Amino acid sequence: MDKNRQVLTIIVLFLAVSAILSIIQISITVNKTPTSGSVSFPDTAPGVAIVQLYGPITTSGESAAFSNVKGSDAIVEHLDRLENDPKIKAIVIRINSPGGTVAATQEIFRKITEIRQKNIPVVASMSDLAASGGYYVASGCSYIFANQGTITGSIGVIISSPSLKGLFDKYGISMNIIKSGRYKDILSASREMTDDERELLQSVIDSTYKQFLKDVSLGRNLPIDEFREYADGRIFSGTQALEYKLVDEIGTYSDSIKKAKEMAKLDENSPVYKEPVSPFNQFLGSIEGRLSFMNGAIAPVTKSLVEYRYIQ
Amino acid sequence: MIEAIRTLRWADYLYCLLFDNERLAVLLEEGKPFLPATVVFPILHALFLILTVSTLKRENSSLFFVKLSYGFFSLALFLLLLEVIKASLASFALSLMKVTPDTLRIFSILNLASFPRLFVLPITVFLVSIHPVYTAPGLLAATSFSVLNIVSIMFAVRSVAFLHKISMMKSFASTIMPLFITGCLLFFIATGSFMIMFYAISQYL
Repeated sequence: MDKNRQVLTIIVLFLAVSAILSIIQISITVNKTPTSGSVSFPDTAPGVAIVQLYGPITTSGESAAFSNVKGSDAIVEHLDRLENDPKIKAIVIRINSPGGTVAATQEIFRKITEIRQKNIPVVASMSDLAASGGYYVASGCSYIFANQGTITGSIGVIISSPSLKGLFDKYGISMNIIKSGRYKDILSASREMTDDERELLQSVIDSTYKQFLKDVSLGRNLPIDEFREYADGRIFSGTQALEYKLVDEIGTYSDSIKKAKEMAKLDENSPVYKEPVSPFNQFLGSIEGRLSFMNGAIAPVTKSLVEYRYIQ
Repeated sequence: MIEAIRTLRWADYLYCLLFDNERLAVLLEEGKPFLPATVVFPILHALFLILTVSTLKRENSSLFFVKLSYGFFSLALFLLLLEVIKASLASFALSLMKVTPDTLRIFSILNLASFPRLFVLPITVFLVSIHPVYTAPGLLAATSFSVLNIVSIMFAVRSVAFLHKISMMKSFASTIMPLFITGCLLFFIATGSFMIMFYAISQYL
């Protein structure tokens, strides 16, 4: 067996040598690889933070369990953390939203203006859609980027409710309503709206609309008269919005990051801090997204809320 | 331990695994104290697999060190567990065939049978050194890995047959088929669970 043992020892030595060679080869290529990758150590250098504002803006966000659509509460909380984080020198808000409820939109707007007051530049980067409440939020930022094809504008307020009186009459359905005041069942679907009610709602809409104009004027540092003519609910492409001074520049997401670094006087290579999303939630969120598409899911019939929202 | 390595008895086992399976059965019956040491082969297999995969692509330094520490530990544990499951399934199948199984020795044979799989690393190192475009060596390495797996299975089946003095067909049926059936069952259970989960989420949405 001695000869066989020698042969096997040589084979094992050959395997060991190949393992060493492989480690050397990996070490050589490792040195050539930049350090960015799937696993990296946390960065602590001053940099730019990214905040995503996706989907309809509501206070608590969409009900989907793993959706990345967050409510205004979560966004304000996140902005709060960034505001108090010493390494965050600028913020980029990536917007892809048709707008949403009034209070939720205004809360995000106020938070952004607070951050700006602390001399932290906030740059808005509009994606496909930044209309109505989406634009409201963007108008609070220090600088706005839009793509040529971004749908924006839709400055206005809307409230809607279905009128099902005809349907109720057809099927002999009636509602028993006991109310404490004449306007308590305003927007009831079971009857036609009265002129008084219409007037009352119009006054609410007008007041909210005025606030919208005031905030856009404040955020953009633009007199209301300069854009009132276009603030009739119409939408604009990114290029048109630039013409009407509703955005500052046509540019991409990476342009907005560059601008944020420039405004914060940061180095070009300074880090970009994205919102941490666990891979598990990312995976489940993507499944959820696919399933909702398969089911032909549509936005739920909204309750009668006053909204800054662009309705497609 | 160093003494045990110096005696070169392990070389006899490996030589017999590759060239004389009948003698391996005899060696295994004689050398019970050596049997637990065979776990070193699945552990080496785990290390060589990680090195092979890392050789095939440009590796990020931090990712490589994570692979070499946590990755190696987890993979080695997984491969060892897999060998234990394989040995248990083979013993169960043998007892169904009214053959008295020797589970510890089957486990040792399966561990030793990992040895041919180690050759995937020198093959890959050779392929990468002659052809630095990563996709071509990757394909060839995957092919050689499959071939080495078949060789490894062949050695295991032959050795189990000699150890229990049964036909090759019976040995094949006891060593490979239970694992294949279990694998298929697990696949269907996993697919079914996934479909139920999809259905549940779609109902929820």
